[in-house]
Amino acid sequence: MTIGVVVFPGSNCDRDVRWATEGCLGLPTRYLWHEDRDLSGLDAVVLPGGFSYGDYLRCGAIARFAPVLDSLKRFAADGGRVLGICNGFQVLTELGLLPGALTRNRHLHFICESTPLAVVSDRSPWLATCARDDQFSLPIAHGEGRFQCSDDTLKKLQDDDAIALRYCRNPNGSVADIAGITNAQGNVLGLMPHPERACDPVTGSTSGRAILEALLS
Amino acid sequence: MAAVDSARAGSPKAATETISRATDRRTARLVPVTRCRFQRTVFNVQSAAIERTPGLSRFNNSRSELVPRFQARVLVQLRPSVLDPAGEAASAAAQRLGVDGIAHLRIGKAVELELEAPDEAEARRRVELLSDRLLANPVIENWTLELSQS
Repeated sequence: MTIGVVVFPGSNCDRDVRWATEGCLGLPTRYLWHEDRDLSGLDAVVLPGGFSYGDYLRCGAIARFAPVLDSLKRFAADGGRVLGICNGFQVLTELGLLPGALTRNRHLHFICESTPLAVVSDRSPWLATCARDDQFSLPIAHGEGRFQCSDDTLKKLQDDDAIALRYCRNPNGSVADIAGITNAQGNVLGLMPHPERACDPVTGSTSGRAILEALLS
Repeated sequence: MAAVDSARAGSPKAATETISRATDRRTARLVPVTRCRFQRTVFNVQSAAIERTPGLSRFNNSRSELVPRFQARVLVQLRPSVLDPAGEAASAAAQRLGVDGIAHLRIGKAVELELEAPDEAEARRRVELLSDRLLANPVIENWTLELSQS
């Protein structure tokens, strides 16, 4: 049972994720360089936050062509668990594993704060320990986190019960207050908040542990 | 001879000499094996490059004039339904500058590129593919293409 953490040029939360999963939760973890293609032996993969490839063109637009993501598409299609955090969420939408897109925050500011979230779907394995409408706070840190999608896509997300988390106080203008979504199957989760920054008690909160523990549950 | 060779094969240098001598017998005599391979490889690469990319001037190829060159300009804009906060901020700044009457301001990006293609239809096909798959994200952006032959 091992977690892989993808390292793109420009990722900056890869070590935070590994500290959270391995250091705080005791889950075996290894890094995956963006040119690796071999995902054998991995049970879950995390795309961490940061600025992959400098966020050139659009966030996640260049990362989409990284060799490791070819393998990741097959990994996800076979039911492997994939968690995209912040920039990782942006990469997953560019890659097409999740619908929609992440755009500039409504007020143009880079937001770095702790924000209250509510559980929308308790169906997905990621929030199995939570009940619908449970609330907890997680840190957010992004300039381009405004989730955007067409009305049809929003309806499909609602019909599939694929909206995992919503903001209690929408900080960035996201459609339907969306903070995180899953794919229809539920094995791929993308979210803008950083659960890995709320795992070590010294950071003031451990409310992110449930999501990371779900990687190997 | 065989006994001597196998006894010397323990050291890397001895192994190399054995291989070189064995290969010499099959190929040209006295020509170092690696050098021979290197030259052949380089020659193959050069001839292949000339065949595939006749327009590259560094090969001083007279056929370079034959491949048409096109200039493309791809304009990428946020879809009308997508909020453009940077455009709104620029619009507000225009008012502060004293420029009145701006009814509509949206910020996009322009990508200029040149490419070689056999004809305009093929050039258009390539740039359309590029625009759709890389330059714009169809979920949030539209694009338009201006193409002309240089």
